Amino acid sequence: MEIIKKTSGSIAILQLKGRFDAHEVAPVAAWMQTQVDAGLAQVLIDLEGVNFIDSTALSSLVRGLKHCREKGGELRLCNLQQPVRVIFELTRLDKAFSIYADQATALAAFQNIE
Amino acid sequence: MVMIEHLEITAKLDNLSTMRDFVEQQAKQFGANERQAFALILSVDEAATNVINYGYRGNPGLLEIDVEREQETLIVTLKDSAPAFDPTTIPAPDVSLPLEARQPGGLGIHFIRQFLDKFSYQRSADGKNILTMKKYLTKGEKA
Repeated sequence: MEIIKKTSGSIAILQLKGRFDAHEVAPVAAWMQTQVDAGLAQVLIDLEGVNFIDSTALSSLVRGLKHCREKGGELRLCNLQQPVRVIFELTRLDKAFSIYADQATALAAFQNIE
Repeated sequence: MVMIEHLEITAKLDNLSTMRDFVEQQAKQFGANERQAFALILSVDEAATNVINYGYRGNPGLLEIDVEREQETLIVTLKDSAPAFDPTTIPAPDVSLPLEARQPGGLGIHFIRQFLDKFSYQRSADGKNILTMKKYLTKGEKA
């Protein structure tokens, strides 16, 4: 899986491309932990290039969301592809996360609460 | 006529993609559409991850995967030699709870139950865990 790290103002952005499975969780979880530890609890994960996610990867996003919220921030998601959206819906995590159609809309949502 | 394809592979997380590719290729060769193949790919990924993380617990081991078509049913069998464990007994997670109240774990088995038509476990006489996962190709398609 390809991992691209970016920032937009105070928002840390992670773009993932490929298949997000148990084997790929460690670098993503480590990046999220680093952001939160550095006080950067506004996180956007762009899943446009992800066409597969399993329960281990999903759980890592849930942990990331909880950590961000504990620090007064938020973890938002954008660009969910259909096989990934199905997984979120099946676990009703589509209701727990703030999910946006694209990066621009998600970034605007961060601006609105700042 | 019964058609079977077999893969034997080291049980480690960086082999998950090879396992998924094998199941996808064989399932489609045996007539699965995208949704049916996805159901089997995700189920194998989840079951294999459980075996690697909680069965072998980092110890070396093998996974054997069979994909077969029996009439209108695709059957994927996953065998391992880890200590006996029946994943069909794992309780379903309560996905209606708010995020803060949810307990970790159990989602993988939840996916398997949701996407497959049948999911069963047996312990063989020679000390192997055998998970049998079935997806109907015609009637009663789920998810």
